[in-house]
Amino acid sequence: MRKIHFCFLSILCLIIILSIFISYTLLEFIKSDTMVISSQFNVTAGGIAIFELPEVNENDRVYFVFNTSSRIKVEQNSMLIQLPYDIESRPFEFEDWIICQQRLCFIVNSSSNSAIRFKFLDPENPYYIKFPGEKLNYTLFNLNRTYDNYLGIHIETITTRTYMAPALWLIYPYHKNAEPNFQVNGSLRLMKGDISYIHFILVTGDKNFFAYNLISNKNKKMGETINFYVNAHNKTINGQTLSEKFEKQLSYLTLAIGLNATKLNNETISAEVAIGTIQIKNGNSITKIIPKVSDAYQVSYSLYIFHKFHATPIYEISVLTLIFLVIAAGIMLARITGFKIELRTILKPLVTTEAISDPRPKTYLARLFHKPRYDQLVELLLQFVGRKISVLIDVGCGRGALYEFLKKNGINTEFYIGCDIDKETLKEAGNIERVLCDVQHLPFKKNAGEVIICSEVLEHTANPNLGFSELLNASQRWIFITFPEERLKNALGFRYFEHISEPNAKEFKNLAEKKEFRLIKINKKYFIFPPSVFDKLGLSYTAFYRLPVELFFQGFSEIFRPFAMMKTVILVFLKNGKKC
Amino acid sequence: MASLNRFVKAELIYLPTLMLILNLLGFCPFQGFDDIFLKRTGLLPFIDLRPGYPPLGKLPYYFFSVSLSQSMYAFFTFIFNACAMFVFGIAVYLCISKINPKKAFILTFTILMMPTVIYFNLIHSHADSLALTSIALILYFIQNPVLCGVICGIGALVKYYPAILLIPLLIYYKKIKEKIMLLYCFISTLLLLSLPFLLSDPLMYISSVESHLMRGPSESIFSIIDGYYGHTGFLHPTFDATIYAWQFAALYNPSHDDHFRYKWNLPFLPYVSIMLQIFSIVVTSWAARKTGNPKKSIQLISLGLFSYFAFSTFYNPLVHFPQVFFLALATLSWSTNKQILILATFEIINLFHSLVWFSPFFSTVGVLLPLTFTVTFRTILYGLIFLNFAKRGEV
Repeated sequence: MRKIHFCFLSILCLIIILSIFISYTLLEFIKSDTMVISSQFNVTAGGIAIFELPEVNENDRVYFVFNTSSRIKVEQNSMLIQLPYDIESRPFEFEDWIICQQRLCFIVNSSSNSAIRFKFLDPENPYYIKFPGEKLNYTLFNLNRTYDNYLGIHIETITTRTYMAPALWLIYPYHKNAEPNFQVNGSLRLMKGDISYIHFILVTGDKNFFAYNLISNKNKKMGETINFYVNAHNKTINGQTLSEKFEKQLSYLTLAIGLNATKLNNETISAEVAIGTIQIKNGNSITKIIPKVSDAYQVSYSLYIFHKFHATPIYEISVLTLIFLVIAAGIMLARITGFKIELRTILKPLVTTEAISDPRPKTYLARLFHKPRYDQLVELLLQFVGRKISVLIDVGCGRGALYEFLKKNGINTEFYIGCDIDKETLKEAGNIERVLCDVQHLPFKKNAGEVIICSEVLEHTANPNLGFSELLNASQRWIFITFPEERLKNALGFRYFEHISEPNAKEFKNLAEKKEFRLIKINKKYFIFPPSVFDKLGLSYTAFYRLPVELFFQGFSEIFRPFAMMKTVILVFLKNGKKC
Repeated sequence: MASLNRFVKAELIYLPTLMLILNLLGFCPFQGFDDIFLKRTGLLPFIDLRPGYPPLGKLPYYFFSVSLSQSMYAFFTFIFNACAMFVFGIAVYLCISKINPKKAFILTFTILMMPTVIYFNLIHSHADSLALTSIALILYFIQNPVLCGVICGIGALVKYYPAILLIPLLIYYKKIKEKIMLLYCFISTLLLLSLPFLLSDPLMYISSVESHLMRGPSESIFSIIDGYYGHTGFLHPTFDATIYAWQFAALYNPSHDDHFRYKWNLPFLPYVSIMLQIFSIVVTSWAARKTGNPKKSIQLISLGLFSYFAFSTFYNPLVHFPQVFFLALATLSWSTNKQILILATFEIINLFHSLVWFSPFFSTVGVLLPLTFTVTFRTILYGLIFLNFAKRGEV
């Protein structure tokens, strides 16, 4: 016991050392796993900015966060995999407003350095542009000549029959708490085109929408200036009370421009709107959204390089050793504390069987395990011997189930001898010649029986080879033997206590060849686990359960043959010089 | 065993019928947004990306999603979910029948017939029923620390919450060697089953847990008090999940809007919630230890788990369906009628809660008022349940 204690403590020390080493490796990596570079560059609308990526490792993640409202197109680079913005291809996601607008994300798939080419598609303007439906073409421009301090937006699209009218949203992020004097006022003009509506939308708190219709199909007048005024104090827009509860927490100010979608398919529709200065008064601060478009502008950005962990061979060996030591420590811990792995003791009652190999009772054990063996024996007898047998010796006949089976399948025996070691079961064996004997010492003369059948008996004997030799002596022509091959089940600790040996087909073959017999057929039936489990679980063998259980069990047993816990081996021997 | 036979038979009739009805009504499983993302990008979960759930609960759906078409995904997920629900039913039945065999049939079927349980187990691509099966089995084998440790480890890898059971079990077991074996079996099961991920990228794997803990409140009394009443904002990271949780934290600041990276208006609230959760679990587990009666202990531990969910800052009528199982177990000494009444009330509140989001009526009225009403009503129900336990002297 002292030795075990010592070993356990040594293993525990090793586990601690390895854990410290693994943790240290990971912590060292975490310390330098992020690199941030912030800078700025000048761009022009429609122009390209070339960016030299600093040295990165394979599979590192690179994030660009730009401070611009312009759309950015990345010219594909073989070393970068650009991750999609819109994860579900949903055209619009309120949740992703901030995230998607300015963020570009890549995974580096090669360690070679290369330049990235960003194309800035739009001029700089105060609004982020989103589409609640299909994407539209748009251009932004200054309208200083016609109207002082107005931002022009030209929208154009080809109509398609979708349920949603084509629309464009101009969004201004405003993440502040509304003070009691919160006010917004602004103006806009409808210049030309097929406008269906223009809404002013205030998004507050948990994405509550306070929408007000500024222009609709009915009241639209080209060139007229429309002023709007929001007063949060009395919860009104242009004097009209909002129906919903106004929340203190503000998120976005939005102008939604909807196009007229009544036209037929594939027709071009366009519109032009001029947006004036919007002023937000909140507490003491006044924010002005200046309606200005700049073709040449400065973009500030942050580049994040996130390194990905690469497992080194030393790390991998350490983890594997740690796992191995944890298992070893568990085994020792079980011995020290006196705990047994009780899983086996819980499962064992499920797989153990009563020592009755009768295919007749209506149980899953009988019908799924024993019956297939009897069926195969009948099939093989019909194939090799025929329907008439002069003397058949059934060694280990039990209650004579095989006799009934053969009779039922039209195999007639002139003389059927049943042998068994158990007196009580032999009494129930029915109308056959009964002999109380042991397979290892058969009381028959040489060549006594034309056919000898010994099914699921030899594994119950201490020396199966001795029993088989007796069968060889007693047989004049044919020997049919079956036995279980349950090495996997035994290795898992579920050995049936009555199976005291493991018969071996190879040894039987060698033995038979010595005594002038030859092996002419070998069949195997696979069982993924003992079907007695179904009986133990309390499932009755009724028509309701039978079909699904049999399908499940036999399907699994066939698919997972290499993992079958047990097999039934059927061997057919014929004496040399005799014909089938 | 005969009654289990009867139950299995009833379940084998009930589940296919239910599946048929759901199919006729047009309900079928759909791919999760993160699975779609993984399919498109070819990234591997837990190695290239941190999903929101642990591997055993996530990978079956991931494999269906990656290897099958949309319709075949729906079919196989439906079958898989039905099998999981079948196993879940048996585990719940066994667990209840251990305490009160007479009530097992009716109570298990009451749980299995609840709309939220049906919807979440059969339609969603979550393996909650398997996680709850593990909890039911732990309670069933409560006297065996080795088995409980192993099942708890497996359960924690299906969904994180079965790991909570470690606390009551550690308190419940009196002998030190039982506690050691429980912990050892739990840790070694976790390590062994996580080995492929620990070898390839342990940080991404650990990060999955961390990102889960960073999530904010939702639709609970705590979130209402804090002024955040939805499961809204930036919900779950997907393309942002390709980096570790702490790297993501460097990139994205918490806000008052986002469920995933939530900034509390009242920062003490999450601590209140955690304190209440720990307190309830410790008190009930200590009471379970004192009783010495395994059946009574199971009831008390179930009450602790029920309280854990009740005091959570996160609430979702679908995700919180395990509560009905814990409530059914905890109230087994009550009369059947009273039990079914309380379970039904609980379910009605949950249904009303779901309607707040999905009914067109509430979309015009606004969700705040009905949601506050639902959450308050459920909190009152919690209060009544706890009061009843206190009155009966069961804690």
